[in-house]
Amino acid sequence: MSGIEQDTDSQVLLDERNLSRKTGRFMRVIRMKESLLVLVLVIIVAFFSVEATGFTSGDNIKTILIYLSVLGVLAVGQTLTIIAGGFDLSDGANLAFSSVIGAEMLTHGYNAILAVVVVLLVASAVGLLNGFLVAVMNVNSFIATLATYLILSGAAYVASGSNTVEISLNQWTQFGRGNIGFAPDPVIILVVFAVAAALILRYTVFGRSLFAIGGNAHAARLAGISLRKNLLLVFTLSGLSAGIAALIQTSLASAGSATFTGQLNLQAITCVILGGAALSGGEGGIFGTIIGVVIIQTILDGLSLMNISTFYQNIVTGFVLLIAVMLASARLALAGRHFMKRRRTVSSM
Amino acid sequence: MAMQELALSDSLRMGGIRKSFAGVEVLHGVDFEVRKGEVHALVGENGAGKSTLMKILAGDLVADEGIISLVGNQVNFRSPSDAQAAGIAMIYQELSYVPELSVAENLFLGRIPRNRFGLVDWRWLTKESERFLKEAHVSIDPTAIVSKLSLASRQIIEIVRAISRDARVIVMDEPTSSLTIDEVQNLFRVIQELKGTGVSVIYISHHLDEVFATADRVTVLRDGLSVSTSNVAEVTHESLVTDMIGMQVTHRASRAPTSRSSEVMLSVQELSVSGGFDDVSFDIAKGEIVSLYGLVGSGQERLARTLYGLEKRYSGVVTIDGRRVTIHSPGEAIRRGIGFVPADRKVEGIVPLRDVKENVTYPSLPSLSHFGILDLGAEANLARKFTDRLRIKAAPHQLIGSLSGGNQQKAVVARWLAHGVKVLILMEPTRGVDVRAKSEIHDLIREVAADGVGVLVVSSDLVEVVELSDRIIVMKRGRIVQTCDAVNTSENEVLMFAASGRKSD
Repeated sequence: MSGIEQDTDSQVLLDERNLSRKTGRFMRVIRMKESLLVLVLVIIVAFFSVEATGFTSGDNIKTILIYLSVLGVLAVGQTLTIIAGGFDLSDGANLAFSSVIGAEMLTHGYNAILAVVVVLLVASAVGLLNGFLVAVMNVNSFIATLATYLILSGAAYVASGSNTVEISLNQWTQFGRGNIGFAPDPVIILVVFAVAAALILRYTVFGRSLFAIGGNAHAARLAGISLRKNLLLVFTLSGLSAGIAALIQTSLASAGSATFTGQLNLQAITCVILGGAALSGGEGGIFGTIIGVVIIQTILDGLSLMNISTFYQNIVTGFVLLIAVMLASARLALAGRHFMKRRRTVSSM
Repeated sequence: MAMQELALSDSLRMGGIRKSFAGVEVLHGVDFEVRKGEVHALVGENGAGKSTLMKILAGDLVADEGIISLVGNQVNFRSPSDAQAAGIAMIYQELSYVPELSVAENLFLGRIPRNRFGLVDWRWLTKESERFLKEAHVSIDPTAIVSKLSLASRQIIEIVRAISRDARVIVMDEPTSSLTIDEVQNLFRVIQELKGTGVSVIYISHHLDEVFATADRVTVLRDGLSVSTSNVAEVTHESLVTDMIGMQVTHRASRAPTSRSSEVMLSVQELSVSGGFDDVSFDIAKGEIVSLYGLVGSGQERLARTLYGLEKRYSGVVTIDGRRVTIHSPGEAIRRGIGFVPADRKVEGIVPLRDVKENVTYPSLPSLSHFGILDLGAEANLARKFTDRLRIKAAPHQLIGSLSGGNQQKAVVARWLAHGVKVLILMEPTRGVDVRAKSEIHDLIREVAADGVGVLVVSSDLVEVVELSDRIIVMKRGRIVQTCDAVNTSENEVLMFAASGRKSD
């Protein structure tokens, strides 16, 4: 009855007025939050500089940078997917699978350039498949990519016969280990990929559409934004990011291996959320994600320098994720988002 | 003596019920009484207070003032379970069954008997269910799974469940909204059976012909007051509608007729969507504002959504500006020159966490970009031009979720003006906006029409419909029953057509 409707409407209006006040604060919090992230990073670096011997050495810093580029490239792809309101749980398994395919090609005598191209194509095709499941078949993206994650992590073992597929020095591995100026190649790749993604988000119709779809898929559709086209593209890009990360990882290890899967998918999501993206979509940025990646990789590196076992590294990563989630929900509460009931047609998202 | 008799025959009496929400009183002391074994219709316009009154009866809401008594005993419902225990049963529009359970389990949900092993006593359950179903003269298999049954059968099960709980008063809110004619007849039969057993039925409906077909008495609510209670035999369609609307003189804004030309902008021929509406044809001229009006569920909403590509399957021909078009998605509708302002802004209209500028330019992005790369300067200019023109009180970079409902709505309209459309469809254009924003939005719609756009408005606000439109198309049960010239038509007449499908005599 409209009596009640009017009531709730006026309530909403009130809330909205409060929100507009809160929005100012909200924007400040976002800015604060990124500076807060940098502060957290500074504290972590300071801690390890004192506690972990060799942490500040040039070699160690280079190691951190090189290894974070794998996670970084995945997390950049994941950021786009999460902004659009989806998940990609398959990226780590996709990385392992395509690295095995590439390494097998090399051991069978194929040209390294061809192998690189095939790795990128295979990984992108997996992404396209995810996109098809989500955008065309309307499968929830969590379920769709969980399924492809399981399939690919298994397939990587099958394709490699559970062995590490070692490869000899070639153009591919050389590239991944080289430097351009002072910067290691993998870091250059990450920087180029991250800058490209940031530009896409800011300056393209596609980037704009991702925010709209993640923010309110129903409204985006009614405003003429194609869910199908954009979701297909974003999942394909996430697949491509897994392919690029596979190139770096394979080159660093001089091998393709099913064990690369690890927990990369969850680590990438951890970085994205830590960087300030909303798990429900519509919010996030590349800069925050990269800081998230640096924090995670620094912690992992520092702990192993202190000879703390991987089990403890997991515990610490877990706590970092928890803190990230709590930060995110505290921020949402501040934004007064609770009253913005957002029914999502694309329940898949 | 007579007074005593009346008191005895009263099953339910609600007296002086007052209720306010956030300081606004919506029920101003409603009196309502229902006799034992009668069907009592409760009618009134949207917003008259029917649902609020019934929520108070059901214990969902607590009245600020007033008394409720059942067979002479004053009761005090603090929660829905209090009301249920006292014998009040609500049959809601959205039925409250568990779809994957059987009919019998649903009938006895929450009080399923156990045998001596502590397991469900299926034998008793089936037997008792059969007994109740038989008493209601319905042939439904108690072991059938509810989700497999028709909507009508599910509704009957709700009623049987109420009876099995010794309900004394059963409230039916728009019970026929999704039933076929045969199913409606069956429902009426069940209602007559109920009467025979001494149960009272409160029948809420917009459809006056149903009131005449099934009710004994009828109470009209208007603006939170009960204005009349009469025997159905002693009233006419017209007197009911007059009571519902009141004799108020409409202060119609004196306005020049919009500059409509004879050029047809949108033409709809024999458009049908199965289960939605049937064989609908109408034209909208360039610069004309046409409203679709109908009671809840009459098909006007789905008709408008069909024109925006939101129904997968339709038959019929749609012509825009002389070109025959097919529309199967919003994207296609936009390319054909149709814009759409949805009824539920928050769910379908805006992306709350993005700024005003972005929300205004979504449909225009293709023309604001080259090879997918945005021209941010051109975008900002376009957005500023239309936020200024529509006097939206916000900076283009402000999050749209932080604006008032009226400004959000203007931004959604601005979206289509910025893009440039031939036909603009507006659903409930002023729902939930304040009075000032409402008149601004009305002016805006007239401006849009003056620019040569064909405007289609779907609104349940009768005053808005009559004030705003050039022509009003009235729908009932998925068909057009009347098309009227708004200038010569009163709210009464429109409601009359919508409720009974015919003109007053």
